[in-house]
Amino acid sequence: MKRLLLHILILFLINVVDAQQIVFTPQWLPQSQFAGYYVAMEKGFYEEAGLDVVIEHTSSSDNAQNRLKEGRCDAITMTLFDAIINIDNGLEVVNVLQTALHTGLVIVPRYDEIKTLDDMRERRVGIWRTHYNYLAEIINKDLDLDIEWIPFVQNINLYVSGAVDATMAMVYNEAYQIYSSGFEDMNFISLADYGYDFPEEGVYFSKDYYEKYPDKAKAFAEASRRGWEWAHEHPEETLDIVMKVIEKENMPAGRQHQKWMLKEILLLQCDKESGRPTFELDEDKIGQINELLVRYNRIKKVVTKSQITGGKQ
Amino acid sequence: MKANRKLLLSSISTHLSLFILAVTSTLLIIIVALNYRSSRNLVEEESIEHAQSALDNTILRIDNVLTSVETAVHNISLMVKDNIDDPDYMYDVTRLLLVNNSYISGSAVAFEPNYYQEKGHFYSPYSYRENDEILSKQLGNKDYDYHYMDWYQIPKLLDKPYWSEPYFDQGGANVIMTTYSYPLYDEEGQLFAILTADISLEWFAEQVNSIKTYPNSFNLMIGRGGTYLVHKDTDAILNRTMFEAAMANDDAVIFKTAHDMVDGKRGMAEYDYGEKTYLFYAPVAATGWSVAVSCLHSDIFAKVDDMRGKVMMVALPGLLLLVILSYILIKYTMRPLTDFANSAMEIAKGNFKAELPKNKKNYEMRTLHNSFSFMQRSLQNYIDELQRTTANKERIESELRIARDIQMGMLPKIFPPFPKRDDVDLYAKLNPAKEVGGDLYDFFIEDNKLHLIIGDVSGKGVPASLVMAVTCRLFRTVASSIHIPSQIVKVLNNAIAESNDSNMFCTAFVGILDLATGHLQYCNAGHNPPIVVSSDGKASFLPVKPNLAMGLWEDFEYQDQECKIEKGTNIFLYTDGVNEAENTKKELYGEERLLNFLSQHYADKPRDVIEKLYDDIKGHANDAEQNDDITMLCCTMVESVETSEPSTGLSKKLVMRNNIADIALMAEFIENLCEENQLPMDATFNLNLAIEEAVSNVMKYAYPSNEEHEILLTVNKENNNIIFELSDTGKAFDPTKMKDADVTLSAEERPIGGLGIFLIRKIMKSVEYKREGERNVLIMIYELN
Repeated sequence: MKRLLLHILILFLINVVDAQQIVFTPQWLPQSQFAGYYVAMEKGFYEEAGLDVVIEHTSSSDNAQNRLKEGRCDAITMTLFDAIINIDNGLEVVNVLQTALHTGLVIVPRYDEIKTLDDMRERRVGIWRTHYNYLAEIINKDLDLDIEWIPFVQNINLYVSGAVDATMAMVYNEAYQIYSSGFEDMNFISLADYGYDFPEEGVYFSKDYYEKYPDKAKAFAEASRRGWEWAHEHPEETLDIVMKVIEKENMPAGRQHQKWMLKEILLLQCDKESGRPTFELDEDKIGQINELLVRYNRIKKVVTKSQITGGKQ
Repeated sequence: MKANRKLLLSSISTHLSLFILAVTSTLLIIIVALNYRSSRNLVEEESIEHAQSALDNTILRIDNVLTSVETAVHNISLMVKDNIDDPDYMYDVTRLLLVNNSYISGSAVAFEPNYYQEKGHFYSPYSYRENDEILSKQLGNKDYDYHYMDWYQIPKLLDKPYWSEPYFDQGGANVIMTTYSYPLYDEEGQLFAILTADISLEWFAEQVNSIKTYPNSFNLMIGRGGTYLVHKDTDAILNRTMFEAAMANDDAVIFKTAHDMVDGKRGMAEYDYGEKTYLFYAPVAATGWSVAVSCLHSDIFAKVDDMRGKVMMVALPGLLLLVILSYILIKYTMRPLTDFANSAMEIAKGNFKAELPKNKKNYEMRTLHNSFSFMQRSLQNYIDELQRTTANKERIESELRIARDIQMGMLPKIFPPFPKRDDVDLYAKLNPAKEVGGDLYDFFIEDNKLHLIIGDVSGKGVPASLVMAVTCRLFRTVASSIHIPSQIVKVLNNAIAESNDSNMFCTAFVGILDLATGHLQYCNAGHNPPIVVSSDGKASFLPVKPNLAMGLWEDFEYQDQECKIEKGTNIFLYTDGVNEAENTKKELYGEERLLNFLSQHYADKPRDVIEKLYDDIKGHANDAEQNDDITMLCCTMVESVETSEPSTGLSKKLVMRNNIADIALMAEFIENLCEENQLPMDATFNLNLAIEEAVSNVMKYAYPSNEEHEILLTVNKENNNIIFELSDTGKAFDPTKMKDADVTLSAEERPIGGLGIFLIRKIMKSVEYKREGERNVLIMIYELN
């Protein structure tokens, strides 16, 4: 009875305050990278928080930030690095939840003789055409490596064909593709080991929405966090939920790959010492990113934590 | 039921049948296995060859097409270079390529950015097929930046033509295809464009899937990174790799196979995902892809397995039939054996004339029949012979037994021999080595003098026993009239020597011991010297003169010797059977041991001395057969408590055996009794008659068996009555309960025994029976006058 009343109440609220619906766009196609949100949706955490959440994925020809800018969605995921650049560029967003504490960026050499970043000097290295290239460029300059970056769209054929000497890869994504293409003995060079361990995804609301419905935004952050925590506790069930979403979206994705991805994503969320996710934004890391971006003139001025988190300290 | 089963299991028929079954089935299994194995190998080889040649053909077909495409592209590239100044001509070039080569579904000349200033950043004239028409368009734009496409970037980076990994082309034909990219360089060697030709993956799939090997086989093709390009599961195409499949199943074989395939090797792998499967693979050299055919074992070997099944279907009932038939045949052949066994059992039961089985069909059974028949005859003869021999032997044995009884009857065997005398104790034992022997002993007291003889006739058995009998009888007769040992010996010597054709002789020791004085007069005729054991335990041989044995020299003059025997001194007489008793090692008992033994047992009574010594000798012999008669006699003069009176006739005792021969002893006893009491002749006759009846009743009824027992008769005189007490240890028998005989009947008609008690009642004053413990006691009182 109570439940029924609650349902009626929720329906009523939805109909009345349609503007409160949250359209959430993760930064890429459906995959384990966004498992926590699927869990929060599937397990009714959003519903329980009185939220009407719609997850709308981006496409390979679209991008989440554009959608936010254009008002096609209210919240997106974004790396901290991108967030700082975007905020500097005038994108009005507020970080309500930081999920990834570490970077998943690695460089995978094509040949055995490449073992360190230094070995990469003057070599051809694959990089995403649209992502992370700022950071790559900065590292290139920072370490004076003189790497020839070869942009790729979305597969590892450059790497497999031997057209590049190494490739940038996400430990949860391209690394798996390489691994599953018969390069089981590949040697990862993690950027984290070279001092570029920057927090990646977080959930960003448009400032507009955040200021209008701060409670909703915070409730969304809280429910999403619940979703991620549940995923940490139930990786197998989480994988099932992810696969369900992928199938619904009619995307081709192997369970093996998603399993690998989920494992790696959850690992990136964990604090190195406690082994547990903290969902906290590290001010020192913000400082380090600012320092790099300022030095290489990527941003005009430092973006503070308070700017990122919408005034909350 | 159980016994039947056991019988069935242990029968030769079963054993042989099972053996045949075991051998034939083993052979069959080996043959089937070998056949199956070689068939499988053959089929395997064939299938490998078949699959590989099918693969090779397909790949050859693909290669041909790929080469034709490569050649066409190469040729057309010259047109591009020739017309480089005319950017719009490039549409014609691409169109021409499609016209020239029907496999090509699309073609582009993709130029470097801003190659033609007027065409801008993107310029890529592109022709493609649509509904059997060749259409053209400019491919590049902001949303389709071909400069970053694999088909453009990779050959550019590699500086060589390149077949792209199949991809879903959104910008062009919107199908999965592979693109052959041919980099074009200007005169300075600078890349200015990439000339491409597309082939739809569908075409490859058609080629690959044209390989039809077995009903359930399937084909696949993988790209350079193991990505499925052709696969029965369409979801897997471009989405999953063969390495992933290996990982998902943690299968090292698939891993290695995938690597080999990616590395452009050709070969075969065997793996098992619930069903054994062969995977034949070969590379498409131009593209770096690999085509594989997967065949199920069961498919490949279906015919062989089917064949094996059929063979087994025939073989198994065949085997069963073979076993049943062989069992029946063997059982039929063996049946006479059972009959023979029954006959043998009959024969074993004693029926030597048992009929033998008639079956003489085969040689073995005929031979067996003859052997059995021969055995029957031989057995019959043997048994007849045996019966005769046994009858003879039994007769001789029975005669010998009688002879032994007679011989033993000659020797005094009742001990103590002088129950009324307490001044002398004597015990003797004779154990012949055979039924009858040549040893002898005898003794009697006359005039308070103990007359003793111990002797040993040369040889053993019947001849010796005859001489012994003569000697024994003569001693009694002679010794009771001549009281000088040497004279007794002389008489005996002469008697034996006379007509001694067989040269028999007899050693003997004759002694006369005065029981009042202890004076021993003796004569030793070549016999072992007796041993004297003094009361302090000193044992010594009695000194003897070397007189000749009796029977050797007629009228030989024997010499007497004499000595004094103290009371308590044991005189031990023996024959050489004692000291010469042998054990299994042929060691003699010996005189020394004898002396020691006697010395140790100086205080024992004669009976104990002899019985213990006998046991000691037996102990020494230890199962060795006794080879000589053993005879021992021991006597000692005892210190009497009261002054012994000579027999008064007041109390007398007679010990008899349940032997008719002893009736004579009894008669003598009664006669002596009557004489001592000066009874008249008729009284003597009556008493004799009554006592004899009583004694023979006891012998008949108390001791029906042939065992030897004692019967004791004591006589006491009280006032005018003579009291006879007859006691025995036989079964309870009260003669007084017997009815008096009907004297009117003739002797033949009267029942046994009745007359006896009638007589006894007539003669005796009273007759009384009582059972005392295990003894029958019959008290008969005779009144004098």
